[in-house]
This record gives sequence, C-alpha cells and structure tokens, in this order.
Amino acid sequence: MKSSVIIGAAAGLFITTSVQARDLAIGSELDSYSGVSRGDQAVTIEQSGVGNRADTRQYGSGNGVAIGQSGRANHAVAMQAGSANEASILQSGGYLSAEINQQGVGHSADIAQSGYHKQATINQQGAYGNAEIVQLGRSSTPVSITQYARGRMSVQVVQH
Amino acid sequence: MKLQLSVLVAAIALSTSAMASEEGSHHGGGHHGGFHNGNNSSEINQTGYGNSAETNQIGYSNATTQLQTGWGNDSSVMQRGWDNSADVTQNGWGNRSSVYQQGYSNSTDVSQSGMHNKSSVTQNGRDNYAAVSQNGMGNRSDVSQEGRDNVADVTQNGTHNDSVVTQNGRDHYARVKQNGMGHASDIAQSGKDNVARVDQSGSLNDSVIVQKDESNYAKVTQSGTKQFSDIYQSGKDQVAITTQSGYGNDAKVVQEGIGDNYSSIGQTGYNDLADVYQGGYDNVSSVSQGAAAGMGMMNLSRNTATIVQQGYGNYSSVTQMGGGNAANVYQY
Repeated sequence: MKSSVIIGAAAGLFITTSVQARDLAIGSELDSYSGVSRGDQAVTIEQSGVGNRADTRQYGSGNGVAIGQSGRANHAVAMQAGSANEASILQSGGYLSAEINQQGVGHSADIAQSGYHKQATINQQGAYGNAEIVQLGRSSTPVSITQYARGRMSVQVVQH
Repeated sequence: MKLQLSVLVAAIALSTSAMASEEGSHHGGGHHGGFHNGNNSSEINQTGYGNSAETNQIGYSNATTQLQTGWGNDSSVMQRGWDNSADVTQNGWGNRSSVYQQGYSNSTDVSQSGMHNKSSVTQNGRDNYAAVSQNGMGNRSDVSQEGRDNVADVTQNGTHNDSVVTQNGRDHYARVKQNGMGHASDIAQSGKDNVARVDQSGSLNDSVIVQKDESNYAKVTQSGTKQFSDIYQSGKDQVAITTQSGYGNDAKVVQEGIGDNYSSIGQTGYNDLADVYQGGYDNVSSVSQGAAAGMGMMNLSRNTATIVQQGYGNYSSVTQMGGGNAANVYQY
C-alpha cells in the first residue's frame, strides 16, 4: 500500500494524502469524538445468513435506524443519544439477539422478532420514550425493558 | 588481458553497428530533429544497443514517430504549439521515453513492451490527449497534465507495473487499466468536473485516487483477490463508486468537506472490507456485500463494513448477504 500521493501545481498547491493517516483517522474518530452532535441522519442495514452482527451508534436529534436480519445467530445493537430518535430492529430465524439503548428525550424503540430462542433488550434513559417489543414463535426469553424516566414513558410487550 | 581486450573491441563494434542502424527520414531524422513552424514530420527508427533519439518541434500540425527496438534505448520528444502528435514505440529492455507537449490539441501515443521500461508524458494546455500502453515487468508510467479538457489513458499488462496520473485544472479524464499482479495506480486530480476511472484485474493490485475541489467522479473496478482501493475526495458534490469481485478485497472511501457526496461500494466475494468516512451534510453511503453460494469457509461471507458519518442529513445503507458479516455504522 502506497503511503502518499502528492499533487503539485505551479501555484504551490499541494495536496498530501496519507492513506495510512486516513485509516487512523477513521479509527480514532470512534474513540475520541467530542464534537457538536447534529442529526437528521439515517441508517438502514439488511443482513441475511448466519452469524451476522450489526452495530450502530447515532448522536444528535432526529436520527433513525432500521436493522433487518434474517437467519440464525444474528445480533443487532443500536445506540442513540440526543432527542427524537427512532430505532427499529426486525429479526427472523433463531438464536436472535437485539438491543436498543437510547438516551435523551422523545425516543422510540421497536423490536420485532420471529423464530426461536430470541432475546430483546431496550434501555431508555430520559423522558417521553416509547418502547415496544413483539415476539412471535417459541422459546422466547423474558424481554427486558429498562426505563429511567423523567417524564412519561410507554411500554408495550406482545408475545405469541 | 587478451580476453578483456577482445571484449572491449566487441563492445565498440556493437555500438558502432547500433549507431549505423539509425534511420532518419523526412525532416530531422536521426538524433535531433529541427525547429519548424508547422506541418513538419519526423520519423526515427532505431534497432540495437544504447541508442537515443530526440525530436524538438515548435509550431503546429507537426508529427513525430519514433520506433526503438533493442536494449537501453532512450527517447525524448518535445513539441510546442498545437495539433502536434507524437508516436513512440519501444520494444526491448531498459527503454525510457519522455514526451513533453505544450499548447493545445496535442496528442501522444506511447507503446512499450519488455522489462524496465519507463514513460513520462507531460502536457500543458487544453484538449490534449495522452495514451500509454505498457506490457511486461517493472514498467512505470507518469502522466502529468495541466489545463483543462485533457485525457490520459494508461493500459498496463504484466506484473508490478506502476502508473501515476496527475491532473490539475478541470474537465480532465483519466483512465487506467491494469491486468496482472502487483500493479499500483495513483490518480491525483484537483479542480472540478474531473473523472478518474481505474480497472484492475488479477491480484494484489492497489488503486489510490485523490480528488480535490468539487463535482469530481471516481470509479474503481477490481476483480480478483487481495485488491486495494482507496478513494479520497475533499470538497463537495463528489462521487465515488467502488466495485470489487473476488475475495479478501479492501475498499476505503474518505469524503470530507462541505458535503453532498455520494459513495457506493459493491463487493461480491468473502472476507472483504469496506470502510467509509463522510463529513459534512447530505452525504449518502451505500455498501453492498455478499458472496455467491458455496463461496467462503463454511459458506460464510465474513465481510465487514464500517461507516462513519459526521454532520447532518447523512444516510447510510448496508446490505450484507451470506453469513458472519459485520456492519458498523456510526453517525455523529
């Protein structure tokens, strides 16, 4: 892998791009981010097969994430911090695991699972949150919804 | 001592024979062409060892043709003006070619086959065209263009070839096609409305595209194993398209600046990596990864996608098929 590409123009314009430094920038972005959160961002993930993993993190307001997984031994995690965010996880198959963590105001979380050996967890901290878990099939483990509320929160769990 | 003297005599005889084999026709044949105002043509044909050729033409509608076959040849063409053309063909070992054109509507066509060949084309002005074709091992091509509406077309076959295309200005078009193993392609463009396209097939090939300013377009297509593609774009309204087929491929896209950028990575294979970073607003990232049935260990794709977006109004889509995949999306 080459380390750099340099454009030189007569006017003294130089662009030096270090691919290696760029790689480091991507990695450090996750660990040391402390900038201003914005929002209005969206994520869609679709996975099929065995042993897939989805991990999303969103900061700001008005963000949305939708994760769809089909197959066995799939795992999805969505984390949102800010306000008015929405997270939705849909899984079908077996040995499923879904987790939504939200912090802030006015969030909405939905987990729908069909199949066997399912696990669903929603953690909300803030106010005016809405959490809903729907599970269809057999061998459902107890769902876990934890809310640390300063305002009204709503919870709905449906298991068949 | 007698043996060394015999070798020396043989070398002198060989060099003399090579010089005698040079053929010049029309204006300025042989080592040096002349300076003319226009409508001149020069043709140099060299066969042998240690030959060199040089043609200088100033004016318009001049044409230069150089053919070298043998070892250690050197060729240099300089043309200033407009509607000039240079055609250089080198077959053999250790050849080098350098073409410099200044003006507009000039064209350069360099063809090299053999080992350790080098080619460098520099064009200043607009509406210039440079085509370089290299076959063999250890070839290297450097094309540098400044101005606008210039075209660079590089084709390399063999192993461990290296292509560097630098374009400054606007409305440039650079295309690099490489077939074989261990190729490297670097394209750097600054300005706007530039297009960079790279096609690589084989294994262990590497493509790096750097684009600055706005409304640039980069497209990389790679097929084979262990290919690497890096696209770096700064500014706005940039487009990056990466397509990889095979396994063990690696695609990285960095788009930073104001925003309105679009990135698409399509990987059909297994053990592939896709990394995308976008900063600004209204950026879109699309990653699709999947392996055909029966590919990979235990029929698992084992692809990984990591997307980092910073700003607002960004959208990320990840689609993965197979198994053992990982999708990581972080939006700030």
